Amino acid sequence: MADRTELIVGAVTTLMPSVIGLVQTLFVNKNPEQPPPTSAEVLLAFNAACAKSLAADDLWLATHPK
Amino acid sequence: MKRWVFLLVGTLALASCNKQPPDLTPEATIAFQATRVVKVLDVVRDAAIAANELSPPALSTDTTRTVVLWHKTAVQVIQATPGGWKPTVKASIYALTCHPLAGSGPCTPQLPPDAVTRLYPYIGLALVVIAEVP
Repeated sequence: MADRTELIVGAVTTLMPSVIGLVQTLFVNKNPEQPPPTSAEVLLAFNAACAKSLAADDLWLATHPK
Repeated sequence: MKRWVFLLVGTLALASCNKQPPDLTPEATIAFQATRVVKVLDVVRDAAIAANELSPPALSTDTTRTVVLWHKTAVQVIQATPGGWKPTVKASIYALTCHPLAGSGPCTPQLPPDAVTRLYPYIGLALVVIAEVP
């Protein structure tokens, strides 16, 4: 069972970049008229992603006290 | 089976936001890559929480707490040092799981063996995304 799991994990790890590349090729630029985000928007998105992520951690920790 | 579907969905979701916008400042480029890593670390954390919510739980609450606390620290490190988090986060993943893509050398994982096995695909996905960051 462990060997099988390791085999599957190894295959997934090896193939993942190819899968990502394929998905990008198939689905990226479906809306070429949509302008790409600006640097300011990217920075805002980064801060928002961090804040949302940490808020989810805090929520789980608050509802599962040790 | 569920976790493979989850992994595939996570991969597709991450891949859909992989394309880096052109003409970003160096700071925004670093932030863009860091955002992708935060999101893939969220996938690891969410997988642990989902496993804990199963009946019976596939991960204990204590183990899930370890994962959530690891995740919180990793995101805080990324937030504080968007351009220099990589060695610290990889080392934390190695300490958590002893995943060979995260490090090498003697290692005793912080997580119990069954938790490492369950989270292995998600950790592998996170390490693939981290490896793409220059």
